[in-house]
Amino acid sequence: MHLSFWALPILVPFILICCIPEAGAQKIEREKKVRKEVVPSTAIEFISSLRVTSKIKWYHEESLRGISWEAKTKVGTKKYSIEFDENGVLEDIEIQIHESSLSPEVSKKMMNVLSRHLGKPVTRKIQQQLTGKPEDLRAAFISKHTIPRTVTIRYEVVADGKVNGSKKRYEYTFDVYGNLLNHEQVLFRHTDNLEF
Amino acid sequence: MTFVRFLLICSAVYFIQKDTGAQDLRSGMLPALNLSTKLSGLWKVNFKSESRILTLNTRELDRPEGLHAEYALTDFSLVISRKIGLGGSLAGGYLHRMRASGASASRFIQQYTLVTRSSGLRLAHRFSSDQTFEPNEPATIRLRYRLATEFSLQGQAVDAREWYLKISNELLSAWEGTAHDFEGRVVPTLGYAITDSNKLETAIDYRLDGLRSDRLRHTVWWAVTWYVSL
Repeated sequence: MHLSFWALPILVPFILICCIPEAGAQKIEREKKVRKEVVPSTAIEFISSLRVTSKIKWYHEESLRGISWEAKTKVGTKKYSIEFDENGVLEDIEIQIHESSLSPEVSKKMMNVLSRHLGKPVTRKIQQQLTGKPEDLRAAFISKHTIPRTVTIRYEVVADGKVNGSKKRYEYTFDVYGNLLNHEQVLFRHTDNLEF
Repeated sequence: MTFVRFLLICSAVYFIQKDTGAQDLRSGMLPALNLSTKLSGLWKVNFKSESRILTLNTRELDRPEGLHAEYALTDFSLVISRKIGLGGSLAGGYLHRMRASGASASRFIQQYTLVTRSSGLRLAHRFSSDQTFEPNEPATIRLRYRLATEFSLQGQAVDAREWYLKISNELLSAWEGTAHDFEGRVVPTLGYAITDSNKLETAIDYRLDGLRSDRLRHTVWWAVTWYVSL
């Protein structure tokens, strides 16, 4: 067989690849694991003050909101995600919780919203989001049970359900009383390279 | 991950137990292009072109000795899939095989895929069957199960301009006329996501067949695949 014929399937993808536009044009959110050494010192100092003995993983995140740093850790059975802005200023603390740790009234209000929107919702994840002054958030983290009044509490709920006849995943944000603040659809990444 | 380990161990134990007296080795390259596009919210069409270039084949004695490159065939396939639930899809399609000799073959494909997601890891189960028809050859019917996992090397999910690893293990049961055979495949893959819809992968595709015959055959392909989602 002549060389040029069988070489075509190899060469075509590489020729086409040169025609791809700059990858950043389609970027929405990009998270990258980083070493502790590259994280702003203010963020490191805050995490050190929490006296966490478990392993801390650091991430650098680029999104439409800008650049941020994120520390993820697990204390006991709870997963924590502590987010800082580009300069290392604390933004919020997110704690993964179970539905049973919500008050019955708040839980009922949230589930009513989900049922109205999703039919028979399947809850995938609930996170408690704490925002406020660093010293108050530190106190909330260390005490685990008592959250200072100055700290704002919100809940992020990820749930699946049927909307307009097809299954979809949504992320909802509720205030501390279970009132819906906003919701958005979670878009999945392409899975063609796993399917075909 | 326990299930993945279980499958890998089962495959390894089965292959090791097999009498490895007579063996053949085949190697080569598998360049492929994989294009997908949505037809609607639920429907998708996939086109794949994959060629085989043989560099070694010890089963064919009249071939030149040592490594060489010889074009063997190209497969063109068209598969239409429909989303079932959040991570599932049901698909059916047709593959046309064009051999270098001029001969051709037709294959009909049916598959169900379920992709599950947890933080930092995607797991895909693929159950499929196919029927291949070739002139002057008995029809071949295969049942296949493939488990594949993909994880980012840099973050919690595979984002644009990031490297990732994909490992798949597939078990096949094939009937050709009255003969029956098993085949196992293990494919470690290194991928680079140029964007979410453009991924380039390179893999060592190892296949072992002839498990129910008196001659085992090891095949090692160096695969390069470009996935484009339009």
